[in-house]
Amino acid sequence: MNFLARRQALANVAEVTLVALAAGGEVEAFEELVRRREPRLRQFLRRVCANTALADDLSQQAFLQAWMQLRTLREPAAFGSWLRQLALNCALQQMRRRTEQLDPDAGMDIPANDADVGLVLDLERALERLRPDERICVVLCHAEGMSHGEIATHTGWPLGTVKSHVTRGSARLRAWLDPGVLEAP
Amino acid sequence: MNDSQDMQLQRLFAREPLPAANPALVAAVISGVERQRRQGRVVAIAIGVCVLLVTAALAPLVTAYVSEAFAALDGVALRGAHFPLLTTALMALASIGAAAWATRN
Repeated sequence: MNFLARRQALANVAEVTLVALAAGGEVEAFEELVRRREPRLRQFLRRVCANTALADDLSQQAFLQAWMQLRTLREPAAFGSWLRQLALNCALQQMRRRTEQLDPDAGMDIPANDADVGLVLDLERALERLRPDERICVVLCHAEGMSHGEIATHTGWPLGTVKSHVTRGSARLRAWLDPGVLEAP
Repeated sequence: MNDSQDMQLQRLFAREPLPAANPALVAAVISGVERQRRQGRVVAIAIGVCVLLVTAALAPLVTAYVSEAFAALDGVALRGAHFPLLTTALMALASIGAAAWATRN
């Protein structure tokens, strides 16, 4: 089977099978996993970091860690949440290392669809203004649908801290966002 | 903050479109994977060679020790002319197993 035919065949394979193949050392299967997961992972990290370039670097780092640790994943169906946890750990490590402010010019890309530009810029600006720890809690709670307890488990922060970050961060986000954007259907 | 306000934020996040696919990132990840595999192979081969050398160096000592230990036991059926050869063969098998284990990745 040539390269293109094999790639085409892998494009139709279920993710669980791809994970099993990649865990067995098949690079093509892992490449297909990366291709499927990278937009979602980059969006998650862009929200968490509020920095496009950093989010792309961390995505790459998270995928490489996933390749190295794939054999330790016991439940292939949980690949998505496992990968998100790896990415979150990368972001948290980066946050601890970074003492300097983020580069204010390192803004996010504007999506190709013009109709969504206003929404994205408003949400991005508001997220950028949040404190990093508040931003992480707000994104995990509202964008990823995690409970406060799950956020505390995933970040290693106390439950009370998570609750106050979510409450304060959400209130700030709402205050900074255009009401028209918030109330749009 | 009440539930409807939470829902508003959740809907806002859900409406945000995914970023466009980034083939350069996929290529960078795969080239990183290939680089790691190459480095991993070199390290595994080095470990395998080291294990073989160490085992080969220890084999005569272990053979001599085990032969002496069995020689002290009178009437043991295992003891014979071919016994050192058998021990060496077992050590060789063990070293091959250890090398295979070290290079399994």
